Amino acid sequence: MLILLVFLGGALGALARFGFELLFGFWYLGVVNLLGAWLLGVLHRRLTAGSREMAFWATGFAGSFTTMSAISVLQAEYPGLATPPAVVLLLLGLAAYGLGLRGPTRKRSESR
Amino acid sequence: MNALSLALAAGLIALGGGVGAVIRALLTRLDGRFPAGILAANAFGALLAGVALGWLGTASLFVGAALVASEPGISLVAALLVSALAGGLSTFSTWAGQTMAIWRLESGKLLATLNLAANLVLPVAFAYAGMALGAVLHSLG
Repeated sequence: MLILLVFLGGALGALARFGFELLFGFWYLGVVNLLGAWLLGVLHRRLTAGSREMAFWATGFAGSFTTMSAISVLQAEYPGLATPPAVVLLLLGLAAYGLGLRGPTRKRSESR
Repeated sequence: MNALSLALAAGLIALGGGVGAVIRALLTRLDGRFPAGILAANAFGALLAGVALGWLGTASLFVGAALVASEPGISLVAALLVSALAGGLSTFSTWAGQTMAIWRLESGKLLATLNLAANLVLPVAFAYAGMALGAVLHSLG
């Protein structure tokens, strides 16, 4: 059951990432990853671990919406040029996630 | 790309993204104190992304142009699906969440730094290998 929600969230996240790629071109890499890391922080703050919403939105959607493989191939293709911004992006990603964690921690009650 | 091939691309992206997310969720079972599952997901995601690029015979910045220029055929569909699978499999957000969680652990600073370095190095090596493999597939037509 949860795995189906991961599949559906992952499919939606990949489509959303594709949309951002069409919208922002190359810069989508920064946009989706920082937005997705921040979103995961918000989800971890507000949702219950192991819940259906967590499976769909956190593991599925946010996991698939963000990407590491596109960063890795850029580093492989342009090692000198791509590696410094990749390091900066990863560090900013940690900050974005931390920012998402901040705020009211009202966990939504689970209806199972 | 015409409307039909755009719909096909969207379907492949959704399918690859969903399957990739499920494999990634299963890989997190490898996670112990060190999140090896997500590192594996990111490494294999990079391998697949490299395969897709080599197969299309393009650089990652010009995938759109390559898709428009390519003959619509089985290898284009396969390359798109592999690329979508790579995107769903690899993740940035979960990596950030896990790294921050480790950082806050008692004496977790070293492990968190290791998780940063490992995700900057290992997937790149896998991307190289994937590009080489993809180039072979490209030469086969």
